[in-house]
Amino acid sequence: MAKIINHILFNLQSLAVILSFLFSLRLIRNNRIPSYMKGFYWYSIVGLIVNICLMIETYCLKDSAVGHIINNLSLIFHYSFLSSFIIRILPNKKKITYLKVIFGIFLFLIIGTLLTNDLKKITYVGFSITNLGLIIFCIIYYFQLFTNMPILDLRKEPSFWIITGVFFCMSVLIPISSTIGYLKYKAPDFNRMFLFDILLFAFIVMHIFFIKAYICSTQPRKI
Amino acid sequence: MFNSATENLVLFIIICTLLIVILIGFISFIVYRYQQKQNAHNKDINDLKISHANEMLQSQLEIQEQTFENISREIHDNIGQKLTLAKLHLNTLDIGNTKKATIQLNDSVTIISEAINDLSDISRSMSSEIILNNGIIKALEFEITQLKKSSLYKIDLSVTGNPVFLDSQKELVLFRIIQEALNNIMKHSFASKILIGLHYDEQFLLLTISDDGKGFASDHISEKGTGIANMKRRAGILNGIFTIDSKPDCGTSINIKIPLYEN
Repeated sequence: MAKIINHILFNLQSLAVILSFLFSLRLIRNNRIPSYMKGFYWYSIVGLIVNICLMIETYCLKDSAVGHIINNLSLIFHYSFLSSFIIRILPNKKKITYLKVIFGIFLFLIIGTLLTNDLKKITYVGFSITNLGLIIFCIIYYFQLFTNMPILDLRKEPSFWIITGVFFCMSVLIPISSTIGYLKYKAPDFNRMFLFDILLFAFIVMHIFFIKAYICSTQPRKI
Repeated sequence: MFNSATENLVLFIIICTLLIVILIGFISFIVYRYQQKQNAHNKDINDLKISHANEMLQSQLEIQEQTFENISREIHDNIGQKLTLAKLHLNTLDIGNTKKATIQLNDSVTIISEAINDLSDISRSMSSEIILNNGIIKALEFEITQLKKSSLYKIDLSVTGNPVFLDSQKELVLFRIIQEALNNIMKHSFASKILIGLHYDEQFLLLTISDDGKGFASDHISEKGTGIANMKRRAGILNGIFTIDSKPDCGTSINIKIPLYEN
């Protein structure tokens, strides 16, 4: 039963990634979208490639370490792409140096964690650091949203939907990624599959929010 | 009783529902607070616009009042005197002495003609019609022509850049500032040369009124009455920056920088 639910959620997540990729195609060579959204489709393209690899691993190369290696390596792209996107859209660039330093520290920690751990196993510490770093950037975005002139229509603002999606996903992921490793050793009877289901659910929501952002980007906006 | 898998499923559904509720609550909270801030911001902008409109109206009323005062003074000091003189000529007209009477009549006609011309000049000078119809540059050219008639001043107007028509109310306020400055020069400066400069750049209009009069110490600006304060306040209404530069025996220069466009 638990495996069936997990498979359903994995397939739903794959569907969300594919839909997100299809909607992102509307951004390619589109000059009417906000400038910060140009290039964001790469996230969905890479997401789709990673997901295809994971699907192949799940359904064809069962129990191989390829999936874990891909997951671990994609952390670097996941973190650096999203955090640099957030830094780029922040309206107040006065403390950009501090943000770059924070970005650099977290990137260094992620790479360091990946290098010092076995890539054939999921690096939960690496996941936790990535999630923490992204949460910090999301909080900075929300903080700046309220300290700068309120000129945006949030319901139609692509950046708001992307950040909210990332913030939600990372907020759900961080308690799971930081305790799952501990539970594996201290409570081996605990059904960890259940936590992976929640993790997949968070990713589905994040990709739905990305789709919303893509739709908002291509809608006509008041200048 | 439920088995372990069903329990997990129920728990999963509960947690996901809870997460969705929290997410919806979070988004609603952020959007609501942001809109509140947006409404407050829009209200501030509207208040500012109303306050600006009120100041503009007050300034226009002051300008009107000043215009009436100027008309009254001109009629009393200039036209009144001329008409009194013409009346005196006509009252003392000696019909018996044809030659003297002819001279007196001719003088009276000349004086009355001058009075009519003066009246016409005052009317045109005080009217805002010339600004509304032809813009500030034409109005300034007319004003300078009038001042040159006195032969007391050498006045030059320099217009550089690409002149644009401002909002007529703005041009009127600006014109009254220039008139106030010229009045001050005539009353207090003992200048012989006056230069009015208008420079239009891409975003600003730079107005300079300078003279070679006696000038004054810049630290005595606050003691110079309401004239300078009025000019400064009116420049402020136009979102402009007013500066005055003067030294004893070195003349005075008034500089006003006004944005050409609202944003």
